Amino acid sequence: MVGREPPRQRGTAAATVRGGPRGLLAVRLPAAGRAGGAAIAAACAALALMAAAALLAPWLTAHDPVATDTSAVSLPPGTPGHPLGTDALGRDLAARMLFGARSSLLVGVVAGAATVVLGTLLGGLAAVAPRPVDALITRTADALLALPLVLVAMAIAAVAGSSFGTVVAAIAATAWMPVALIARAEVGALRERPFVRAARGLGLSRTRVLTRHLLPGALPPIAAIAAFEVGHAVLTESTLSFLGIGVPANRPSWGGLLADARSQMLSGQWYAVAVPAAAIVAAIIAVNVLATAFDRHAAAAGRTW
Amino acid sequence: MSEQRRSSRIRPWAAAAAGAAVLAAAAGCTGGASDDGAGASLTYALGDEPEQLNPVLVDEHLDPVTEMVFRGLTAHDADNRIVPSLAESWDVGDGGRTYNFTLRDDVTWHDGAEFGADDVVFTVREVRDGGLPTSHKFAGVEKVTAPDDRTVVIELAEPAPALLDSLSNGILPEHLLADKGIDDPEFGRAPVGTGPFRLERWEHREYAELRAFADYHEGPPGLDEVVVAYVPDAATRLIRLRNGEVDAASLEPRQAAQAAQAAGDDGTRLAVYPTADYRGILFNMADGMFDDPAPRRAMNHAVDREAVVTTVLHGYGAPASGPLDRSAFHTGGDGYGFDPDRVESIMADAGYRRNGDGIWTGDDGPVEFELTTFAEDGLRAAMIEVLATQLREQGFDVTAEPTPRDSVDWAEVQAFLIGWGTPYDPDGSLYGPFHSTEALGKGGSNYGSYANKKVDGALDRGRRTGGTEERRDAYADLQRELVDDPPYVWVSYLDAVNAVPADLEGPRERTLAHHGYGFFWNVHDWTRAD
Repeated sequence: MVGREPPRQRGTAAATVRGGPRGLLAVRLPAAGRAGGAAIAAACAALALMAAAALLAPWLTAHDPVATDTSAVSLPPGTPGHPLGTDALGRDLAARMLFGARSSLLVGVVAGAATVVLGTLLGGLAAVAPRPVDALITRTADALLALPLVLVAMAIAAVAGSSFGTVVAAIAATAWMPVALIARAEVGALRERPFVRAARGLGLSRTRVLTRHLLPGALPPIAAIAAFEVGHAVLTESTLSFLGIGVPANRPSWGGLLADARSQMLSGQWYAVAVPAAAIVAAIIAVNVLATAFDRHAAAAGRTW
Repeated sequence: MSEQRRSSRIRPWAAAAAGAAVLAAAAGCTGGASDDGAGASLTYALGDEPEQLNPVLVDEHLDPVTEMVFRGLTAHDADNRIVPSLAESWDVGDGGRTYNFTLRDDVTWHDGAEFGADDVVFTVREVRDGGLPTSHKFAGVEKVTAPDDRTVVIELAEPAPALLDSLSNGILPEHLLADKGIDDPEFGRAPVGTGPFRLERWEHREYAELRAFADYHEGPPGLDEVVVAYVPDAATRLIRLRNGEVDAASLEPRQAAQAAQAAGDDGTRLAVYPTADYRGILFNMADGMFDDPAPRRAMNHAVDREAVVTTVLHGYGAPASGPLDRSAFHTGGDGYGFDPDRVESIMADAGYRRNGDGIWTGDDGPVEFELTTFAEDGLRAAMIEVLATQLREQGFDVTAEPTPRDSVDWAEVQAFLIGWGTPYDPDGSLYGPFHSTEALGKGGSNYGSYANKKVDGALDRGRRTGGTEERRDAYADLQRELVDDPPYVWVSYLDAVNAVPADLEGPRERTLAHHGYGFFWNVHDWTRAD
């Protein structure tokens, strides 16, 4: 019967909730060596290109990304004046991709940063706070991890209405848990180390020990996961926009472009779907490759004690 | 579980298109989709599903199932003129204040009970007093009586020519509802009417299955079974049609072109009928920023309606010049058309100047506002994008900002792409949206709080005068006034596009209602050749 998803295997569902990323987000750097180096260079180049496209969008295209042109609808890529073609309302797809990069990457970076800050603060707090606060934070994190997070993000976005702020909040509110758990573990381990004990012994306040010694010491592993969080945020933003509850509908974003193009799939305009989808995939793979490299670098730098 | 059951039931219907032999075999192994094994059936995919199947609970949006199950005293013919239905004749006396209906004597309810005058009295009285969405239709009824079982007399406080139209709404059975009330939710799930089809089962959010009512007073219908499958997503409807899971479907304009190409290959054809359903930009007059009629007039010349119809509606629609284009009361001669020169002259004459960005600027600053609509409605969302661009090109700083239906706060809206229109009596779709007593603040459907004394006067005359000529004059005045002081920028009328099996005979073109409802108006005449 069309319209019903086959039931997902229980084991897989549990594994994805507990066992880290899946699908696109699970893409990692190839084995170290020349291939790894090339991958890092390519990832850097791709991200730099995308960032440049986003920053320079108004100068890179003559078209207004929301202006319709009823005399130039559904043009294929390669049409003079419209390198990527136009959508069903005659909006230039190249302009929409460029301005869409602004929305998608901005949300990705801001939401990724918000996730990391929120997660680090909550995790650090859990590690040094009295037991009930620790329990509250870790149980909340566990409970959230057990939920399908896109559903939670959808609920937040649907209730609060679509805006950049809501999307960032929805992503941060549903992605802080892994960061918090890592931060908590790191800070917890650091607390017992001699230099921290020495700092306490010298009479430094709890807050000062936390901000001066504990959190900075926990940063390297958090930094590695931070990059993954950016990739996650880009994907979540696309998902929410695709579902119509992400960035406002009249502002182009990659996920929104996908949603717009969905209806054109059946009429053979595959490129309208392929272009934004390729951009999302490329951005996430590039971010993940860099994150893996950073992770390995941190490990190689002797983050073992 | 129910999903499973449904799949085993729908497949035989799909197979019916392929041949009666296949159907008989399939019916044999699924326990029988139809009792005689070779009955003609039709499975129709539709997006909207009502919460209840009760005609007194819906104004203007009568869904196909309710339409097929119920009959009113009157009905509309192919030209939307009033014709007899459960009433075989009537006469009007006392200057349009008294209506005498003679009912048919061969009508039975789907449960076998006999239909009579008491049912009519019950329905009219309960609807009038029930505080229902349709109550306004009978608000002017002073007295409704049944001198005998085949006669109903309705007395009005003042003439109400729309009454015959209102009585086309379904009559409900007194013997089932006298105790429970006319809006009994249980009845709304398992309705009993006098129409050509009776509801066999209704799986909410899935499908409604209707069987021919053999005792229908105009003779047994040509089809034995009609199934309405509820499929909210338009793309899914088209896919199901292609897969043969349904054999008819309501389609969106952008799909119609694709479906038209496939038609013939997949055994379907398109039935494209005009509707009285229009789209227009409503201005929120309570805001104060639209007090001056000049920009509203100019914007009526600033939109290129043909371009909207071609691109957004893919040609399945027509430019709109007012609320009555598809009505017998249309007087036309309004002169709205895409005309940048008129925009320039209207705005310049009214004292507006273009500022540095090319935006018309008056004493209160530049003309800039947000144009919104229901984000869920893809067609409207696309329309506002195109309209905003067209208006920006003519110097009106308009931003398209679709809003989810539940977040729309009418009091806060600046401009909204709205839809109204009826192919039946004009009063129903004019008085609410444009009369000042129906303003938003007074709980009415005049969401833009438009107020114009001449419009009010014309609407009152149209509602209360008995003669057709007087009404024609009243609505001609109305249409002139709406051009002079436009509450909306009228944009376009929509066509209803339905894919039906190539062998289906009987659907007849008629100007349909909101959302293309009314497609099944003559369903008892439909047959399949297979």
